Amino acid sequence: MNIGIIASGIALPRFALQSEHLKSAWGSSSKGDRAVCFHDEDAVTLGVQAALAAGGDGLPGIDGVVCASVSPPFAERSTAVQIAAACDGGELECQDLAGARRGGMGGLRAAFAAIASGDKKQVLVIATDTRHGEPRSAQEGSFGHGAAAFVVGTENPGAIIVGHAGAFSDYVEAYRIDGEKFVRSEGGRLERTEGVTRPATTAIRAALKRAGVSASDVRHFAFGSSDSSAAQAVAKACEFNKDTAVDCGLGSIGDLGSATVGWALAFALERAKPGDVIVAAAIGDGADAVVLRATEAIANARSRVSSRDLISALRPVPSYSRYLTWRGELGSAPDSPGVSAVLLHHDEPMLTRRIGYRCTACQLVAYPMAKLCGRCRSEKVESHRLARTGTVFTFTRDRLFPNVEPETAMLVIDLDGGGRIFVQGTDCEPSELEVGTKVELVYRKFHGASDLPSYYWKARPLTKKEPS
Amino acid sequence: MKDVVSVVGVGCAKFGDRFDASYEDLIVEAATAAFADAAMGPDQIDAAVLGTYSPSNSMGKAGSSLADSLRIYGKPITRVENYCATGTDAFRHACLAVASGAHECVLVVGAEKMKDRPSRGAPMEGKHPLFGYGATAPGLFALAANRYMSVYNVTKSSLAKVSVKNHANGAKNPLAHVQSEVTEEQVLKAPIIAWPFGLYDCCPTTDGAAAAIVMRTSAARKIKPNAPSVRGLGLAVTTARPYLDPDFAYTGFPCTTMAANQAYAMAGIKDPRKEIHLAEVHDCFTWTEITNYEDLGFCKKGEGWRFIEDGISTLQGELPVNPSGGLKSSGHPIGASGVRMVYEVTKQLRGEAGPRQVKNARIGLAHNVGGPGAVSCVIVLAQA
Repeated sequence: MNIGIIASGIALPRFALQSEHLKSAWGSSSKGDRAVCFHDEDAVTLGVQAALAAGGDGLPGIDGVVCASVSPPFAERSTAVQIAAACDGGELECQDLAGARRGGMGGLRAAFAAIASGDKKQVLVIATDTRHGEPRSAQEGSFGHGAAAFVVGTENPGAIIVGHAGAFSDYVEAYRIDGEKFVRSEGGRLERTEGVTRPATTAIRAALKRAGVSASDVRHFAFGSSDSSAAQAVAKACEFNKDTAVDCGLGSIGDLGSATVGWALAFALERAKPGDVIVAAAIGDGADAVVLRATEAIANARSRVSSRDLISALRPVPSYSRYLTWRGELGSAPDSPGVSAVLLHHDEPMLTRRIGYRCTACQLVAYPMAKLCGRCRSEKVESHRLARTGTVFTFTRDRLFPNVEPETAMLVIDLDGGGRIFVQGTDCEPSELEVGTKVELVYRKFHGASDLPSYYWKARPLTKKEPS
Repeated sequence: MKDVVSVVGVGCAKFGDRFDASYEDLIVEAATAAFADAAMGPDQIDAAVLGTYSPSNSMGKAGSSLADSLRIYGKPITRVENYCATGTDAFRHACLAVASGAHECVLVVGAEKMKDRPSRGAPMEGKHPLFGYGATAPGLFALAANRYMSVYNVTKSSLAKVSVKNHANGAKNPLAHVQSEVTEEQVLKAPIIAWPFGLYDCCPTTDGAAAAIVMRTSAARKIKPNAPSVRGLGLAVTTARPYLDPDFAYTGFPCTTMAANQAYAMAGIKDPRKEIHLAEVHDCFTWTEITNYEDLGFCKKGEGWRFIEDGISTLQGELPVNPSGGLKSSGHPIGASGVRMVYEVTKQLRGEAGPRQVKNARIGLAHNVGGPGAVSCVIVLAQA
């Protein structure tokens, strides 16, 4: 039974962040361009694009999905499930591979094992990433966004998997701390040898040995790094022929994270002739290597969307600042409009200065300032600043109110000298504020109703020592 | 108001976590039942009123949510929204349309799909830094409950008895969201939501829809001889910011009393405690039902807690309140609640309420209060 790639698909966004953008912004000199997401794209949407290119609408014949990503939009929610659902693939078994960007090759190996064992018939393997470099960092000039997908099965594969192997490395190479947006890496020569060359070479040699293929027979080498000198170093260490390492245009699209090796493999499949041996190797906390041999059906295994077409469809981002708004680095998200500055302007006397009114007709003191008296509807109201001390008229301790604290004291306070106000408690346990508690108002950060900081008065128990 | 407008048909969707259904599906479920009950179809309707706080996610804030659900096009359809009194006010508008002579037969639908929204049920949509953000329904009602309990020395135990009663009634109602009994101890030991309200002091977050068809009484009687007639309608709006009103006593809701007095005057009711035989009232939280007893004139201010302690409002009591299980058991899909109350009162007056039937019920009342304390609507129906 020959198991191999029966279809593949690759995907890129339509925009390129060009070296000129970064040069004019920062004066830096990054090489080449980067394929970058529009504001409404992420690893899921690119993954869907690649999965549909490989598997087609409805994912016919596929009975399992594996997705690799180190930049999933959800820390806890399956990327594979979301992609499978968007492809209308039915209730497929889905698995995710995260943590290291060699997951795409790990997925190919897992798919091979699942089919070899009889557990699955056809498995869709997706690698998708949209890693964002911090503005002005070297990574901003090297990270690109993209996805690759392969259908692994036994029906007339265009490239048979003849061997695969992995290698271990715990050298701290690229890493992103939970909750942070950007990848960190020390770089340097030891990272090159311990993080890249050694594990990659170990995995490739083991895979070739299992495949019974000699290094000199390898025609195409697809490597999971956009650093072409690293690919050359691995090729040399593995004793491949000189022109084996594939230049797959990563200089125009950037390092695609988990999808880099998938892109390079898809590129190799576009060029492979029947009988050609392809080695694909991914790195990231170790390495995974797969050895494939192209068959007479190689055309079936080629991406339905070509790498050349995807690259030629790229157009420059309209401006670097627009790009930063897409990434959320500039401006505020439109779906949380928040408090308007106009509203804060006309309500400022009420919010900041506790301005209510005194009705000269009925003597009511009330809050906030209004055109008509709340008791007698008279227009004879004059501005009146409320006192900062008062008594709790009624209260609750609300456990649903959005707050970093579990309970929020909500207080209706009758202020000394008149006026009633509705505020949160502060500086004490909510249970210390009851009907009759004497309080004073203090000016505090209010809450996160919007990105615009809000301030308002809160109440705390009045102590005998503190003057008010 | 006597023998002018009658309720010729009612229908109610199953209330609950309707994960299987859309907003539109619930409307169809309720309206189809009402049409069947009235032995008529959508073509016999001259106009419709949709009571809904948040319309369908796929449609705008208009009557079109009803039109597109039921495929009733080209007729006058009005959307009504009035806080938690939305359902009863929608019914009130339909009755006024028939009473005025403008329309012969009007459909009322109340609908809400609360579980289609993330978390916390009722959304606070405002963006005002002080008033729009974070305030919760239990928190706002709790302000009044705590003041009341402080003034009248009432404990959580009295509140819990409302929950025990309404759970017991709800267990007899197959359309209720929650159909299980609870003990007073369970209610008192439940986690606190907003003091003094624990979980079982609060109505659940619920999907639901209910429908009623109103007609001129003379025409309705020909179709359905036992169709109850509408005797009284009342609606009162007061401030939505009692927490800024120095005159607000916070021991009840004057809007309820004002709405009830309008409805009682129209119905010729002098002593509601004796003349009303059952009431579906707004028990969004346990304490709300206690203040409703007082605000509706069933007892004096400050004695509502005694009303529940003495068992007057149980199914077998002198004045059964919330035989359906109330909002506590049925749930509170905002716009649907008031119309569901009309459904319940109609069923009771027709003697079709099964195991929760109130004996000798000839006059029934439905009541919503929302805001809290800003809006109240009261409906009085009478046996045919």
